[in-house]
Amino acid sequence: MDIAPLYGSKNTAFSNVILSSALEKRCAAWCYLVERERPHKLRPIDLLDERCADSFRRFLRLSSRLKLDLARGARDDHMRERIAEAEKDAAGSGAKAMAELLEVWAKVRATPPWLVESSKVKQADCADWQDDADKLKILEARLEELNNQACQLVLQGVRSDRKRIEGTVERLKGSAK
Amino acid sequence: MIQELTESVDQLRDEAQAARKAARQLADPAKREQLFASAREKFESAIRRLERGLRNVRRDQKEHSSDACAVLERLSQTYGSLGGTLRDFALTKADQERQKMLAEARSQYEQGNTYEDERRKHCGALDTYNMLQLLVVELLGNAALINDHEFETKLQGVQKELERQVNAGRNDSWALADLALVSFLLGSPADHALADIEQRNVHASFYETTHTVITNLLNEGLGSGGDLTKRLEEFQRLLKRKGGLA
Repeated sequence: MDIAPLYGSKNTAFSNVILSSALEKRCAAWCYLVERERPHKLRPIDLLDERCADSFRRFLRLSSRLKLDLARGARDDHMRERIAEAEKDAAGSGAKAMAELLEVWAKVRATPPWLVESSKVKQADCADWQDDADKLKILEARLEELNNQACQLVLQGVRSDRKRIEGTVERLKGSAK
Repeated sequence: MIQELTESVDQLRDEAQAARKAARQLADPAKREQLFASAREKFESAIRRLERGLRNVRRDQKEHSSDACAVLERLSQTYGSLGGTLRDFALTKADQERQKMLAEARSQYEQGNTYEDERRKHCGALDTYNMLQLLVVELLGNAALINDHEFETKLQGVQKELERQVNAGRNDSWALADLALVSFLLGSPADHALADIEQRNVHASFYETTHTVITNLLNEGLGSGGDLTKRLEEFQRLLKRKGGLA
């Protein structure tokens, strides 16, 4: 929280109260989310459900923010340990890696490379897109490993997008500036 | 899209700064190295995202649209922070390794200054952080530069830019602290360097900010105990007295 724009910035005692209250609210939000939705216990396949994926994203964002706030002074070993444990669960199950790969796919879909006007494409864009395609290939492999019917539609979508990116890169890499 | 990018990058930069700060406070060399490496990796990742973001923004918008300027601002700041991290790291090393790290820090400040310069010219930005740090890091690597004519010309360039920005309305105490430092490095006696700035009706925090800048440079070993160190110490004492600092 940036208190500079508030009049509290001129009054140390008051600004400390504001900061402390903001920290408590964030701690409460993290605990509520973890207790209620248990995002750290989600499996990679659960993240194909948009509601779960959203909960997981909020969990990662809040954890990261809170770790910084707690490191800045308000000492709370127990809270820090809880966050570290929950993050360890999320990483250990493979959910965190899956969330990152799904995010790459979401970004590709938001701004598809094959719709970009070819005259505006640069060599660096082709390198970025090839990097995305490589990540989508990893996502395909993960989805195949899950070997679950629920993954089939997503797998087809990822594969199709990856091929379209590769085709676009192949077509443009010679002419890109 | 730009909001999502800046939010994720700001988060990453905050994490990197936290790792950098923790690294500076650690005495255990192995742990310190690990934290510096983590900070570096996060800053580099933020830079990769921002550079890609800048390309995306420029594909659809004007070269210096407000979105492009917002990305450029973060890019110059992140390069500056990466330069600072490498500078901190360099100061924990000795001899050749230290010089190598300082050269790396210099290269990051240089890239940061390229973006900063673009912001100064096309986005109306009043910022000189990388421009000055680039010279400070050179001086940390070779204190003899203080007597070098070419280096003096570069310092004069920074002074001119700082004065232009202050005259254009920049009034943060960091700008004035930098101005006092540059004037001092250009040979003004400490009291003259301060008197020039004091005429500008400065905020009380100016003394504290300048004191922090000088103390950091002394802690980093600027001057290596020679004449420059003595002058810096004198400057530090003067700031303490005039600013009523404890």
